[in-house]
Amino acid sequence: MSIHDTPILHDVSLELKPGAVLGIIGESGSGKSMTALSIMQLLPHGASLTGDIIFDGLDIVEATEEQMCDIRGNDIGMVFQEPMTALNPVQTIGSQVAECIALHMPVSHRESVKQAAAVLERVGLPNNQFPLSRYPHELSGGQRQRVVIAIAVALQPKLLIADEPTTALDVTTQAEILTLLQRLVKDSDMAMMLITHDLAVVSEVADDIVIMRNGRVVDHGKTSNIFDELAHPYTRALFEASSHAPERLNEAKQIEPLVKLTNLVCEYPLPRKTFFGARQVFRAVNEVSLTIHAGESVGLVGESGCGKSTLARALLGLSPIQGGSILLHGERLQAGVALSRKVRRELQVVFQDPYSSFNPRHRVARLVAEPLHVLDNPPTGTERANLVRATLESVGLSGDDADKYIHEFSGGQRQRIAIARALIIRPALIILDEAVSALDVSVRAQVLDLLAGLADSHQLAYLFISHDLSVVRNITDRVLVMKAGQIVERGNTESVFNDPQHEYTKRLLAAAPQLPASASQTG
Amino acid sequence: MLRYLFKRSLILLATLFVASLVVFITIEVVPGDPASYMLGLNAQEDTVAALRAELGLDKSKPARYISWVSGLLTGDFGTSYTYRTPVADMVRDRMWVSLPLAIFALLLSTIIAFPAGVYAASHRGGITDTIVMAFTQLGVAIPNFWFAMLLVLLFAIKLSWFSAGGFPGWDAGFFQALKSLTLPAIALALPQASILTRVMRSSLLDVLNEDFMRTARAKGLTRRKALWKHALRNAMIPVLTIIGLQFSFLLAGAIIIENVFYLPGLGRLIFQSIASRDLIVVESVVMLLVMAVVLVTFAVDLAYAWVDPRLRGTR
Repeated sequence: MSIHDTPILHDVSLELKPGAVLGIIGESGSGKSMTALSIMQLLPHGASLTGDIIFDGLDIVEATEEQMCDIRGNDIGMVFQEPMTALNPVQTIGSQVAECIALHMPVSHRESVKQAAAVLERVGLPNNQFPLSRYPHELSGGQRQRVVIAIAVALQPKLLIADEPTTALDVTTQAEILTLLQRLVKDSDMAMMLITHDLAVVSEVADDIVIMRNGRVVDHGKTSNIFDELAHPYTRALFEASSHAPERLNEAKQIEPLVKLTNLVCEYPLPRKTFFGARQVFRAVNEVSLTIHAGESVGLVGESGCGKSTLARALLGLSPIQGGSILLHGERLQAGVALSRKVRRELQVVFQDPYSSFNPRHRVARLVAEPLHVLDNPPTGTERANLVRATLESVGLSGDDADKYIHEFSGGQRQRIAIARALIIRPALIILDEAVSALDVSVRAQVLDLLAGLADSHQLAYLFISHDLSVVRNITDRVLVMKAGQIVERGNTESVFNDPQHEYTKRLLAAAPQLPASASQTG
Repeated sequence: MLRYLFKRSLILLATLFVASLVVFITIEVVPGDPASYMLGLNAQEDTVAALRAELGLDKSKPARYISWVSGLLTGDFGTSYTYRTPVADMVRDRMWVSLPLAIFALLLSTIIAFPAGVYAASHRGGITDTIVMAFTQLGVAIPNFWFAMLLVLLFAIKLSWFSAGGFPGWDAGFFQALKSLTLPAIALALPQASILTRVMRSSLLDVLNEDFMRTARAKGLTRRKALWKHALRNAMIPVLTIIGLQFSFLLAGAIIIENVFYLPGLGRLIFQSIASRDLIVVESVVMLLVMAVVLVTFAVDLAYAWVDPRLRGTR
C-alpha cells in the first residue's frame, strides 16, 4: 500500500479466524491503522493498494464502492480510538445506532429504533438509565465508546476492527470495555482485530499476535508462544521497553520539605440549577496534604476527573485555592497574587501533549530560553546561546537543534525539548502531568531514563501525575492514590503496589493489564 | 431548554435597555443644545425656545428619557420636525420597503451560497471548487453599487426587463412591487452570497475531517449520504452567525443601493434625516434598528440551540 507513491505498507499478510482475536501491535507510524483502514477501504485520498484482501470469499481490493458500502457496518464493524469525537454531537445515540440498522436492513424506522435499543442494552447501556434520546455530550468517555461499539456490532458483523479502542480511557474503564469486546466476540463468533500499542492489553485479550514495524510484519504467532519465546529482537525490545524501569540512585534525603501542601481545597462553581438559587460548587481537590522533599520523585495516580490536574494547577499558582496552604521553601504561595520570581524559578511543568504545547512559529532556542525571564539576571548573547546548547545536550539532543523549528522533531524529541525548557532555570521541582502518556513505549523508556538521570545529577524533585500505573511504579519513590478529590492511600511505591490497603487502589491495580509473568522476568 | 430561552430573553432585554440609554445620551445629553443644532446657526432665539418647549427640553433629563422610552413602547415616536408628520408613520412606510428587500436579498444569497458551498466542499480541489472560489473572490471584491449600476445598464436600459429605479408601492400589486425590488436584491445579495459560500465551504471542510464522519462512513453510508446526514447540520453554526450579521446589515446598510435605485427605504430615511438635522427621526430610527438587530441575534441564538443540543443545557 502506498500514498501518493510513498510506500506505507510492505508485504503485510495476516489472517483472521472467526471467534478469535488477533492483536496487532506496533509503535506510531508502524502502519497498523493503515492496515485496518485498508480492510475497510477507507484509506486517505491518494492511496493505492496492491495484493489481495479476501473477506468471506470476496476480494476487497477489487470491490466496488457500492459493494464496500454494503459490507461496511454490515459485515465489518469498526471501533475507533477517540470516543469523545467519534460520535456526531448533534444526533441522539439512539438515532446513530438505528441509522446503521436501517441502512442495511429493510426494516421500518420504528423497528430499527427497537433493535437499536436492544443493541445498546447488549453493550451495557440499559435503556432505563441511558434512554435513546441522550446526546453524546451527556455521556462519559467509556459510555460513548460503548455507543461506538454498539454501532459496530449492531448487525452482528463477521469482523470487528478495534483501533486503539481503550487508549483514551482510564484503567478501570479500559478493563470494562475489553471485557465487553471479548464477550461480544465469544457470543456471536465474530473475528476481532485489536490494534494497540499496549502489549499488556494484547497479552490479556488476543489469541494471536502480529507485531508491525515500519509497515512490515516483523513477528507473528500464538500469543502465548510470542510472549514465552520473544524470538524476534524487535519483539524483545518492545517488551523490555514497556516494562522498563530506569536505574535510579535512591537517596532522597528527607531533610527539609521542598513543597508542603496542607489541607488544600480547590473548588469550581457549577452552573446554576435555578436562576436565583445560590451557585453550587464542585470540590475538585478536597483537603489534600502532601509533602515533596528535594530530590524526591512522587507519583500521583487516579482516574480522570479525580482532581490530579487541578492539584497540579494549584501548585503552579494557575488555579485559585479555596482553603489550606501551599508552602514552597517555607514561602506561602497564594493564588491570585502573582508568584514572586523566587518561587516561580523553583517550579516548572511538562504537559502531556508534546505536539500542542509549543508555539510553532518560534525556533527551539527561543522556546527553550523562555523561562529565563524569571531569573534576576538572565544571561544574554553568547552566554544565553551556550546555556541553551548545554541544556539541549543535557536532554540528549544536539546543540545545533536550537535553530530548528518544532515541527522538525518527533514526539519523543519534542518531549525532550519540553523537559529542556523546564530544566534551563534549574528548578527544584518539575511537575510532569501525564508527560509520557502520549509516547511510544521505546521512546517512553528513553525519556524515563533521561528523567531518572537528571534527577540524580540536578537534585530534581518530580511530581509524576499519571493514570499509567506501571510507569508510576517504575520511577517514583512514593505514590499517592487520589479519588474524588481526596488522597485515599499513600506510601512507598513498592509497598502500595504490592500490598494495597484501600479498596480503590486494589480495584485500580486489578484493572491494570499485566504482561505475562514469564515475559516480565526475561524483560 | 427553558433555562436557555429565559437567559437569552433576559440578555435581550438588558441589551435593549443599555442601547436605549446610549442612544439617548449621545443625542440628547452631550454638550450643545439639540434645538439650536436642529435649527442651524442663524435661528431666531424665540424659534429655538419654541422648539425647546416642543421637544420637552425644558424638562429634566430622566423625565425626558422616560417619556421617550414610554413613547417608543406605545408606538408614539414623536413628530418629525422637517416633515411635520408622525415618525411612526414614516418608519412604517419605509419598513415595508426595507424589510422585504432585506429578506429577498438574504434568501437569494442563501439559495446561491448553500449549493455552491456544499458542492465546493465536497469536490475540494477540483475544477468546480476552483471556479466557485474564484467567483466568490470576485463577488467580495466588486463594490455592490458598481455592480448595481451594471445591472441597471444591462437589465433596465438595454433589455428593459426591469425599471431602473423607484418603487411603485405594494398597492400596485405584489409582483409589480417584487419586480422593482429584484435588481436591488441581486446587487445586495452578491457580496453576501460570496461571503456565505466561503464560510459554508470552510465550515463543511472542517466537519468533513472530524472523527465522526469516519464513523459514519464505517457504518456503510456513502460519501454523499454522510455529508447530508452528518456533516451539514454540524457545519451550520458559523453559517447561522454570518446570516444573522448579514440580515442586520441588509436592513440598515442598504443606503447606497437604496440611493442607486431610488428606493424609499430606512437607509435613505436616516440619511435624509441626518442631512436635515432631524434628530427626532434619527433617534427613533436608530433605536428601531438596534431593536431589529437584537431581535435577529436572539433568533440566531434560538437557531443555535435548535442545531446544537450541547447549547440547550443539561437535562
